[in-house]
Amino acid sequence: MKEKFDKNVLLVARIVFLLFSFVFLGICNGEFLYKMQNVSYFVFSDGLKEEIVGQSGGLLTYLSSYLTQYLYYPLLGAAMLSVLLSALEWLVEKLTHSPVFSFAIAGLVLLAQTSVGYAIYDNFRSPFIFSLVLGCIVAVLLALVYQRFSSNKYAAYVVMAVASLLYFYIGLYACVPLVFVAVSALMKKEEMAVVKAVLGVALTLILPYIAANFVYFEDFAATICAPVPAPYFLNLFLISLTVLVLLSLSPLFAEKLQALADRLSTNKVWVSYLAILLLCVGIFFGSYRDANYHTELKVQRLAEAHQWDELLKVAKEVEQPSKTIFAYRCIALSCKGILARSMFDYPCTFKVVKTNYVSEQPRYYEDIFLYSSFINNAYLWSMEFWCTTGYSYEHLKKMILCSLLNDEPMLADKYIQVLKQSTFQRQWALEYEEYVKDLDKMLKKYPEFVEVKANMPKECIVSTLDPLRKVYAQYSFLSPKNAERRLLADLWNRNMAKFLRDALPSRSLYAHSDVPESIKEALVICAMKQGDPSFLKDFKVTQQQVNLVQGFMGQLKKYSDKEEAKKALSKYKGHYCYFYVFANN
Amino acid sequence: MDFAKYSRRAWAGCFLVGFMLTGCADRLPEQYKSSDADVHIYPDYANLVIPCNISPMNFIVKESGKACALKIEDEKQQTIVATAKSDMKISIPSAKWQKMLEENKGKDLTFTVYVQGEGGEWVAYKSFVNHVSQEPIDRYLTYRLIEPSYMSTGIIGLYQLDLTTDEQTCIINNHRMKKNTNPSREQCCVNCHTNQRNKPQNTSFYYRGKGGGLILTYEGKTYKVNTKAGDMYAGTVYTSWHPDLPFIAFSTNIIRQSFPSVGIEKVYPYDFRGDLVLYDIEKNEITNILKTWDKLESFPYWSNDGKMLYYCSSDSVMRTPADLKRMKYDLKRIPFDAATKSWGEPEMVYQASKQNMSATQPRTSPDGKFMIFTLGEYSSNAYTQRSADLYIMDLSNNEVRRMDEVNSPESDCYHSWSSDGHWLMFVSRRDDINYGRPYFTYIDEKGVGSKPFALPHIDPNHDLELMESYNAPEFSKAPVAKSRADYEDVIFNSEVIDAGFGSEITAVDSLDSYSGASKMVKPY
Repeated sequence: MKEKFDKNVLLVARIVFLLFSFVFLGICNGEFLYKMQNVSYFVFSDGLKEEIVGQSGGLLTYLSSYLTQYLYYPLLGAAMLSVLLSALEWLVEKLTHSPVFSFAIAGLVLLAQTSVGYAIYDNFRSPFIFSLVLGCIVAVLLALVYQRFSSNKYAAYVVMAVASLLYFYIGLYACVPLVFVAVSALMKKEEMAVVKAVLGVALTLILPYIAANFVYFEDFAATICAPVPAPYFLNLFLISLTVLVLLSLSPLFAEKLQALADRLSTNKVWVSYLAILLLCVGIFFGSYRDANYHTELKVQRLAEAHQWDELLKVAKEVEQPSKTIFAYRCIALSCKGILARSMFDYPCTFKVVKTNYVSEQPRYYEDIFLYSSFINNAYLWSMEFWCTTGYSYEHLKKMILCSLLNDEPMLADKYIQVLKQSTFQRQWALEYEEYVKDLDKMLKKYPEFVEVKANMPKECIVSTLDPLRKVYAQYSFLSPKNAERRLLADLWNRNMAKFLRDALPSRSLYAHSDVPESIKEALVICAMKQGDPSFLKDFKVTQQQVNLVQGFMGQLKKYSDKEEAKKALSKYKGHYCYFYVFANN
Repeated sequence: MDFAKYSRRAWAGCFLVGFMLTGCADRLPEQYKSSDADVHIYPDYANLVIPCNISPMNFIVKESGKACALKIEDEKQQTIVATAKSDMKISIPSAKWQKMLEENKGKDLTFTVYVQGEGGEWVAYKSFVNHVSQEPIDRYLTYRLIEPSYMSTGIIGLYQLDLTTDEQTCIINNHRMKKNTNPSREQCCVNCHTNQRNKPQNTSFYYRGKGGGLILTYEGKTYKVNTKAGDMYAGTVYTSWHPDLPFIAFSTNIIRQSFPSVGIEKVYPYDFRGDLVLYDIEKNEITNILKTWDKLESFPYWSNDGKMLYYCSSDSVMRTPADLKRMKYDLKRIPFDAATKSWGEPEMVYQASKQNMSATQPRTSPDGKFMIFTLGEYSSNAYTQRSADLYIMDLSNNEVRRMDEVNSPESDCYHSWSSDGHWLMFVSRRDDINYGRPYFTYIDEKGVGSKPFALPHIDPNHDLELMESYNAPEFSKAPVAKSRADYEDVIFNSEVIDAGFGSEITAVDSLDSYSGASKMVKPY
């Protein structure tokens, strides 16, 4: 059959697949790969090794955790993954002699890898992206060994024994050769075929039971699936399971499938090329492609790298932001010192993506608290995510930042010493190790932290769970910056009564600085509502500004339809009066 | 068969193995310069009294160099040599170490560290001496590992460590419970492993969560008890087994947490309610010890003879979180008559509130001579307060002394006496202010502690890398009698037994709480 499938076509198909997976992973999913690495955690530590290897499928998880570090450089990671995927395809083809089947398997694995979606935020400690492809390779290799030596009457038993032992190291993947041997023995009507089949199936059922109850003391469902993410991550789980079932049962249909494909494409090379093209297109459109997803990941990376201008540029291109993108934009504006000027020049009805993942909403909490000078709250949230969604470089780095800014060098040093034991994040750790002894150096390099330190609130117990709307409102009037943030929170909430209550006592704080335009416009709105403009002069509101708001309100009255008004008054976009009425939607 | 050929091969093999063994043996440098400087090592294991059965006290040499060596020498000039490469981690051979300790009970050991500089020259730093005690330390330590400050429940486990081998085993963790409940993230937790002083095979801990309760192992049987009985507003929390009889004194508390926005202390746990109850194991019955509406009681602890129950008590109650820093606890005790199961009148033992301080966690020594407690600025929870220090009271004259020889500028609390009263273990946050680590000190006849030392590990970096705190550790003479599988079987498969209530029901509030210390309820 293979002969029928032209060797050159196969070679071209393999090259196309290799290139596609490299480009698709490295370019289209570069942000995802970096994030995947950032939410993972691997350090050369005996304790961590013991902990990971002590779980079902632990050895594979440990190796994959190590490799996940290489996603720090997305192109390098993509190259590694593409080569592994191609190796898998090649091995499956050797096993089944069916290029159609082998490409389908490799394609499904690639699809699973890029279908993580928002699960990346939540409890995603499994280094799934490498363990799936590596696990499949080990499973196929074992099946190949069996196939190569199947004429030997002990081959099936030896392979099953090895697979059973391997179960405790690579988890579910070891079940593939067990079922494969069982199915093959039945198909080939080998001697003692029924015994082999029963043994293969029985081991597949018994091993997870033994592992869950006597070795790892884990939940049965979690153990049976490990290290494939538990059924909770449904899309990943289903694709992975499909791959494993197809590999296990491949003796049943792989050859028939290839025969069918050969019949369809006899002497028509273009059909083969079309098939590989369809596969690539299918993967592209089948992977997770929510409009904001990669942008969200990107703004988080840019925030971590203190690239505020780039972050604002990326956020600006978003049509309807998610809460996370909005929050990071606020952080960037704040770090650039232009929050008051630009906060209301942005859509504020957030795009909500419905997912099963619990942590999607508060992902930005630690950063918004950090850059709002609530250091302890930022640390608390980092620790919260660290505990509940799994250890990660991301949270560890945040805890280092918090410790440094909170004048806790000993704690920062502890974390830094741990981070230094990683392969690539070590660079970050080495940079921040210098700041343990010389915090001024850090403040000099990252001036936004000067503001963070200067605006730290005095004794204050924050109980809010939604910092995006409320964190600034927690500020007392200790400094203009704090007062301003509090006023902005009121304006954001469009709570004009509260805004006026907060604004009046803060007027003296603006004695030596300019009152932001947005606050002046809001004051005009309040004055119009109350019919009392007396307080406007205290805030240096000009007649021009009064005219602008009055003009806007006057024109607004002309329209009975809100949508029509919004369109007609779009020239006011960016002004607070526009935000107040239309919320930029 | 050519025997000569095989014989030559055998000799060659022996020579090779012998060469490898001698070649790999740890050796001291032959030439070195002597220095008067003290060597910096982590953990600080210099000038200590050490237990005669402790596991090797491995350490990292914190001097710059490319290799180092350690010589331990006893009074008979017998030595142990250990070397390290550039990681500077000294790993003392376990068997030799144990033998040397055994042979040198009551004697001194001299430790000399040699460091090879980048240029290849060796320097011998000033030697230090550690004294080996006659008295062994209790072999096991049980504790909970938990991250220091957060709101929900992550992976939490109770562990047992063999102090003679540094072998840690998991008693129970909430891994399986967590995975069962994900993604709803229902709280489930395990905590407070304690045992009976004179019958260490009798133990208890809590499993908090759906169908949770006190997991009690008594006389070889393990079962699950719901200790919230009668009109109790919450389940039981802090535990003290009677030294001999089948009684457990508990506090019953409603505990909450606040998270301050600024400052190094990141979490303020506090009690909203607190009373004391007695659980009669054989009758499966709870009775009130102290039920007060205008006071908070907590941290019960039996005297060695079981005739007195020590505890801490505040004269005011929490109304709002703002009251937190006004909460000052005194130490009190209440006589107990085991024959009639009756209680006398509470007596003041130490009035910390008079000094505007708060005294908690009273623990008497096994010989009944001393009591060590924690004194902090406020509230009953000392472990997050930097001001928390250990104090010792001579019970013959009630004189109190701050244990400056063991305290640090950071929180020192959660102490536990060894069964013979010579060793004291406590949790200190001195390393980084946030993570609690066990420290040990030898307590002499006069109640004076030796220089405390950190828990030794095979990998001296272990606790530096550990991202969890040791919480509520306790000494134990015997290992945990039941396996993890046994405990899980009880947790998952057995029905909870409701404890009876033997006191008069006087409830004036009908609070909805269950067997969980941290259940968020509004008491007022």
